[in-house]
Amino acid sequence: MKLLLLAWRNIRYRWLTQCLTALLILLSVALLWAVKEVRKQSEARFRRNLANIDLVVGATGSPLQLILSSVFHIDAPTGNIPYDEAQKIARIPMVKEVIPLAYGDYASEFRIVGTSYAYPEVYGLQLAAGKPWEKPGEACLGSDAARILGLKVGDHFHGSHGDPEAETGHGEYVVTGIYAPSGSVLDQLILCSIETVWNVHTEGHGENADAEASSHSEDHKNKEITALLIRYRNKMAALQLPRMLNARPGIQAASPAIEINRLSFMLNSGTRALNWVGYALLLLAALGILIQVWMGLEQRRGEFALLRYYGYGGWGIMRLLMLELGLVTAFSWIAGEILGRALLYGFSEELGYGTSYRLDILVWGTEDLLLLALPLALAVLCILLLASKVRRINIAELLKT
Amino acid sequence: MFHSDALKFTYRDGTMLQFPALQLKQKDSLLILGPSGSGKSTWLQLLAGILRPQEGDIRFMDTPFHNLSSAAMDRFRARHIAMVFQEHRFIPSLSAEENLRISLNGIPLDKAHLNTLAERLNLAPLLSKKPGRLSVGERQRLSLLRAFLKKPALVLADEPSSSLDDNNAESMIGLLRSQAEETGAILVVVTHDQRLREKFERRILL
Repeated sequence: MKLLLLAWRNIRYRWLTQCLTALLILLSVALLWAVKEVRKQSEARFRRNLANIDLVVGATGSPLQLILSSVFHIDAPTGNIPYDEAQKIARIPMVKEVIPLAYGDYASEFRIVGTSYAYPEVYGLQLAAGKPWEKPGEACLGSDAARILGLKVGDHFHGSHGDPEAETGHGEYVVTGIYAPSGSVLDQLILCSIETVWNVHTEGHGENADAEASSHSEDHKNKEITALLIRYRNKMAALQLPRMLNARPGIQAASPAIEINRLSFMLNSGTRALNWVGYALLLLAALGILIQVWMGLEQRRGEFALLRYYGYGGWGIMRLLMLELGLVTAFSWIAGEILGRALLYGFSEELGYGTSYRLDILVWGTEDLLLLALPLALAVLCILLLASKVRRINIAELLKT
Repeated sequence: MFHSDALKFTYRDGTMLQFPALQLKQKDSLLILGPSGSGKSTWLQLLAGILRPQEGDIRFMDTPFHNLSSAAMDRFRARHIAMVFQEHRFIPSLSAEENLRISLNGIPLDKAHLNTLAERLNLAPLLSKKPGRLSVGERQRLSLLRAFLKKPALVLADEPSSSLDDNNAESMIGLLRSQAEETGAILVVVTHDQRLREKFERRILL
């Protein structure tokens, strides 16, 4: 039977007066945690998906949209570019490697991307089952796509045109391979050859579709791709190539690093504002604690005088107050951590990018303890500020009627 | 056992109070009777070591109060001196028994002693209740139980009967005296209640 039990009983007895403080701490912890994780996880995922891609070439439009759509697969493409233009770019001496991307179809929520074998190689993908695609109509699935669609090697599936929600039946595919998880966006993609995408888009687009498809598979003239990922041969390319490509009509070149820095800056502006809201709530909580302790010292003078009479002394009363506020803070922190995860889950779902960029709510770090330490330190500070008032509590209070 | 010099205490406003010397031994009972403003509460606070006199000293169980720091005085008082207040205050969030236990603050609980006192004061079935749910009379008795549970050597009672009717006042003083007698404690009652005048053989009128 000691001060901890007394503190617990006092919290239960005066739960209503603790509510406001608890609520403010809870909200500030939840907000600060959720904002921290959104920033941290988003940046980490963006950086991981860059995979040493130096430049992206696509149709003119927003450079950020081009990067988001072709590197991170979370936006619609800006348009298409001629394939022969992509071939010309590949022949520029400053270019070490090019990876063509052609897309527009989905299988459920997963994008079907026509590309070359270099694409999975750049991301270090290994086949966990089956073999790479070879002929048109064959596809390899990222680990998440295979798991969620429930597909295995040898299975057939249909795509849907232009929109994950659109009706299926746009092209038939056979699964030839499934990749092992890589932690990159490719886990949520379905990869096939560029010819597969071209064939699917020529089928049913006219009476001469078959003839068109066969003639174009031999000759790529007039064919289009969505984007071209480029890796530089040397550092000089970073200075010259973007300017050179941006001078060409109908195409744009965008650097993923620059666009991601720009995106991070925008994201940070938003998160900084939310962080300030979180700290403001914490400050309000501290003010609430100060008022609560101050008023408590007035309203509970008899109780504290009794504790002095029992021999607990001024330090004993301060320990009791610290335990009471410590318990309230600890419970609020736990509730705040849970609410923070709920907020993160809600935000992640609200983004609507499916599994590609779903934020992980089951994460834990030492920073979480800082979110406990901060309000605890504020609570202790408030009590220390009122220490002289606590010391003045006298047993003589008990003699007053 | 309890020795107090002629004590002198001056308030900040210059009011000076003087009190006669006291010599009390085990099982002694003393009534200090005086009207409001006569300084009896100040004297009680001096005897309890809550206030320090400007002149004179108190020695109890061979311990001179003037040598003790404030914290040491708190510990000494908590261990050896019990007080019964006019208002029977308890910690409202705790049950009656928990209030008794926390009042011991490290003094080992003598469970048999607690049971005996609880039985004698008719409190045994009420110990699980919160003080707020007890009647005034039950709280008085709980207050006495708290005072005698730690087996104090000195019991100081401040206006223990002032707010009580004749029957309850009689009962309260009877219990105080009998418990002090049984435990061998010195009992000092400070009051303006003239009804107690005849209850004590030894008394000081202020």
